[in-house]
Amino acid sequence: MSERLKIVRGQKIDSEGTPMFVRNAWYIAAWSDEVAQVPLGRRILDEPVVLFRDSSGAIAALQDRCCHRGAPLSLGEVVPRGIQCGYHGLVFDSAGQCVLVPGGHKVPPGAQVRTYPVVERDAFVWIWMGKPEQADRSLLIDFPYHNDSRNWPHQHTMMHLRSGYLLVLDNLMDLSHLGYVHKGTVGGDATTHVEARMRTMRTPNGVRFERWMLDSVPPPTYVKAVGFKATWIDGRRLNSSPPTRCSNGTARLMRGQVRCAIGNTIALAKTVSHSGYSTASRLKPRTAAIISGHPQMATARMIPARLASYLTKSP
Amino acid sequence: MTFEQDKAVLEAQQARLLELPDGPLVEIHGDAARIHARRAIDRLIANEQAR
Repeated sequence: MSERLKIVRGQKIDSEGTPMFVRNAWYIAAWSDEVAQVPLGRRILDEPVVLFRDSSGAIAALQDRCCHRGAPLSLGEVVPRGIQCGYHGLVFDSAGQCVLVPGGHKVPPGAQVRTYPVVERDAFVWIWMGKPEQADRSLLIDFPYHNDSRNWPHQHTMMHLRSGYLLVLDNLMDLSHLGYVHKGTVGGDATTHVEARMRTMRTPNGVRFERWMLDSVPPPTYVKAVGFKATWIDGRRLNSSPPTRCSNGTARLMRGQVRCAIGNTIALAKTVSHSGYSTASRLKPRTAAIISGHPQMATARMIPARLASYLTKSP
Repeated sequence: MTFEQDKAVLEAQQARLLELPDGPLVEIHGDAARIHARRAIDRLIANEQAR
């Protein structure tokens, strides 16, 4: 039963039908600019989390449940000492410790709310939903393009989908859909996509695959954005490691020079991260996609040497 | 625009799978990477459960 239900719901479930996730991994909880000194409630891996920026500017993530009567803390407000429950006024600091019971009463022992490790970097707010002692910052992925808006202007958003996260992952890991779903935008000619040369490699924690479309005609979105007319080489590389996050890059080689386009989807090393899976109900899978798009063309000098060298080695 | 196109097909696919869960689903050549990705998730989850 469980195998069939897993396919049908687009997410992995246990024998009771409860969604299962990779927990010991960094997930994107929000964009930096979404977190201010007001509580932000999110459901991540089916757990209610409240994010807020404390008075020092640091971001904290707590379980969205007051340890007094269980009200969501996200209905409260941020105060100088932390987050205040909107029901009876208890205040919790960024470490989840209750620091105030209104009326000058004693804080009872054990008045503590679970917290999650968070890291704010490159405009992302990363959260670790697994065992806190295993949260390893070296596993975070660098994405410096978000810090260079002059050369890499970008727009970002979040999109909710009424589908399970595995269906979203399937979508990103099989780009032969581009010629059909995205015929008029980033896909273009279907035959080019279907006949792309592909290489799939297993990595320690995921999979990496490459697709090369040599001498192909650029798709409509790219032509519109940068006016490419010439035939180009299109190498698309997808990484899924850890597999709960995907990144997607597209680059072009023109006259031997690496050029990198665009796309409201993508350019070289642009990320489309699907994270923060939001499961609103066990029977109705929900996914939130964190999306970053760089409608920008860059020249070779902006491209990290390592990637440029990879891209010039087309098959 | 591009992402709305994905959203439209993914939501319709999910709805139809929930509506008609019992029919067969086949795999084709282009599925290799996505099958690897799903297996990787299965492995990681199994490893976490085992601990």
